[in-house]
Amino acid sequence: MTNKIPIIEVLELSKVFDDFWGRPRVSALSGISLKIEEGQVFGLLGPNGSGKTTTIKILLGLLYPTRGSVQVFGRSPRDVRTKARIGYLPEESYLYPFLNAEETLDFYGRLFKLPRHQRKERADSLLELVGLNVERRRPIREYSKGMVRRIGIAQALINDPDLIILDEPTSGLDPIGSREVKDLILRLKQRGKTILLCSHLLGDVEDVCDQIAILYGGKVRKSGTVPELLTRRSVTQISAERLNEGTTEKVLNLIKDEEGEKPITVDHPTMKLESFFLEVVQQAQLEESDTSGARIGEGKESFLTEGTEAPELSSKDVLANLMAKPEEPEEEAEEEAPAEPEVDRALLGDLTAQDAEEPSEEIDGDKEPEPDQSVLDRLVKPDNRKED
Amino acid sequence: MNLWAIARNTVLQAFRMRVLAFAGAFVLLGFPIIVASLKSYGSPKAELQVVLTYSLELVNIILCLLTVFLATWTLCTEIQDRQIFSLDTKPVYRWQILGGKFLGIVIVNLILLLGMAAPTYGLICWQLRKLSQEERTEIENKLLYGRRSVLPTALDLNAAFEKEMRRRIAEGLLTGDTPLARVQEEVRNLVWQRSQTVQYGYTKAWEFRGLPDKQDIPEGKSVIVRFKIFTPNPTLKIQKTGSWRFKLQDGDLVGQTRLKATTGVTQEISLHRNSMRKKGGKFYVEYKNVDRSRTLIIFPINDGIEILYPTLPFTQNFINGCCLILIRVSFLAILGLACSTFLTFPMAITVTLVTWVLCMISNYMIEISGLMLMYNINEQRIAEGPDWLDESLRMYIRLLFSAVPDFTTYNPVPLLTDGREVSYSMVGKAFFSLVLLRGGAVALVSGIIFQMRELAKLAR
Repeated sequence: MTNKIPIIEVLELSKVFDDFWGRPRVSALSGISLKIEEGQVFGLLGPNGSGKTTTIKILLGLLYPTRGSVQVFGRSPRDVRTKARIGYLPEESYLYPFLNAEETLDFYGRLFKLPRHQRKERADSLLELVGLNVERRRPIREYSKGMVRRIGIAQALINDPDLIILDEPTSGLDPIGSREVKDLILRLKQRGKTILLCSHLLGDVEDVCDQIAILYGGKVRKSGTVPELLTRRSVTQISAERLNEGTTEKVLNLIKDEEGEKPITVDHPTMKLESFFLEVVQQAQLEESDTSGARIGEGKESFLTEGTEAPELSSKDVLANLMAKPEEPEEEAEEEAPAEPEVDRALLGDLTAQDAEEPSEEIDGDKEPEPDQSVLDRLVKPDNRKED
Repeated sequence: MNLWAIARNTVLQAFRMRVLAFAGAFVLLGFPIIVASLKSYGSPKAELQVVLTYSLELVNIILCLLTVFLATWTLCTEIQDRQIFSLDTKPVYRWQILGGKFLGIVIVNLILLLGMAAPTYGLICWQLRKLSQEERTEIENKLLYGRRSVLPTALDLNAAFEKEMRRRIAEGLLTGDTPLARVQEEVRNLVWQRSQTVQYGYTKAWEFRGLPDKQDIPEGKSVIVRFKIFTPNPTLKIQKTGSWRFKLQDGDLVGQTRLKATTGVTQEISLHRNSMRKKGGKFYVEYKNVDRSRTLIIFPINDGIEILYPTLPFTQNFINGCCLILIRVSFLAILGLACSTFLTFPMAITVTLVTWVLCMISNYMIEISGLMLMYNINEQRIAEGPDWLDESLRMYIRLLFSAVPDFTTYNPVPLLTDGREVSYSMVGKAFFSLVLLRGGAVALVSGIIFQMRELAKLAR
């Protein structure tokens, strides 16, 4: 794998957002390094404000690094030759509402200088692929969120890109649509495409990614292949067909006495990706790392169960609690915290809750204000509970 | 191809956001009002002037407002709504984004201009068809044919000033009681007044250069001497008799007439094309005040007298006028896009509108910049001369308004309604001054800003 050509090379990348007067306001990235090789499906994970979207936007030339270097296909991300080989699906499909699906694909096809017949052929096949063939003449402003997402995926593929950057690709899609997207990613991988996937849906990432990096507070906390990261080497796992109690006991005794004959398969057990993800984030929080996004809080459950013995929560519950709004938020928090979209928990099942967009890149926008860290801290830290 | 793709998208955006419907509604509402108002103006010439003025001003204002809105809206919302993410991540240079949008706005303006100017042209033709042959010929001569203006050779007022000052010194009129600066000011005013007044029994002559040969004047068309007179009481509208003589360089008299002219009203004397005998030669016009009331006759400095000769048929003149409108709105498009590269929509549209207003008053502001500072001048200040603050302020005003394009000079409406030529050279100058020079400078600066801008950071 190391002999493969690096498609993306990020070295000691830092990004600091300044205020109007040029004073540093938010440090979104602090010296991250990444290397994504040809044919990989790379997952970028992290809670809100961890720096995922900032990283992607720097890779696309929409933001500029404060320090460090970024190379995509061995060139600057702002080079048009680089952009000609990239397909990008933003976190929300920012398309022109006055165009219909066919015109949208034709417009983006023109930007890649595709000849007319090729634009037509690709538009037809992509519309077929994303299931919008029948609705191709309807203006995008009339589309549902899922349909917009689908046309967004189609536009990202119009140039048959070598590198595909997908920011929350399954956001807004129904479970069938999500499955189709994941199948599509795997098919693209089989065709040798390199894919950078950024998602909050850990199950999605686990299903399709070869390699992942977990960001928190603008730093890469863990990175590696999915099996590498999820393997617990301190434990030996023995797997076999269903055994009766006697046999199991004999096997156990046998292993206990001597590790000789082994007619059974011995494997390493793996934990769920979401548990691992939480562990990394909690570890980062114990180190009191700065983050401009929401924090995972051991104090959250304490705050909610004040005066009672806190029940042990599963990782899923912890995530759900984290993403849920406080029951009685303070005025300040209501004003400044980013809007949380509703989560269809029944639909998502054992997946984590969907959360809001990262606010760190939008430091100067009204739509997605930066979460008030002090309010979040008060909510999640047990020490602050007394103050409340 | 990228430029064209973005331009095409901008045109689609403009039309699908009902720009065409908006402009069409204005035309549908505005033109019937213009047609209905024609009956009250009496003469056919006045009616046609009203059609030209109202309709072209309507077109002008609608296009300017639409351009300001469209140019600022198309880029600001694209950045605000983040469609720019999808665009900028494609193999497109940022200057192509700006250039494509500019091209798109120009195309939209061209389509709207055609759509709105064509009814005006049609209305003029329709009005002409209702007139008799005689009336039509007269209107074509005096209004519809584009005519080039030749002004008299400027008098050397400095020489006259020096002569008067020498006379006063020689006659011992400078006593020393009055400061020299004050005397000079008085003499300047006197010379200035004398240059434009004619006392009873006196004759005033003007020299004209650069007139064409008769071969250059179309058959059936004449040369017009246009003048306006006043009396010391400018509010009075009375008739004053004057004797006019027209001479060639060699002294040959080619025409003379005696006529009563109403004060404050522009008058015209037609000369046969045969009066022009030598291309570029000198031509003299003499006026003798023979009015029995012995009143002083005043010819205003700016529009006292001029000679007009026909150069461009109406259709060509009208097209050139439309080109000027297009050039003006093109500058506004560049300005609107430039503001949008670093400002939010409300700020960008405000700055563009304010600049548009400055463009319309820049000529006037430059003209009065010298006079503005004289309000506070007293005897002592005159004696001392203007101080550095006066000079700096005047320089600042002149520089500021010189940098802003002059929309007044390049406004075709007064020219067309006055039967004046909108020359190709004027169109060329306007294009150079507004689009290439100033527009180019604005585009260059905004291009650099846009290139440096992090598009994922929202404008403040």
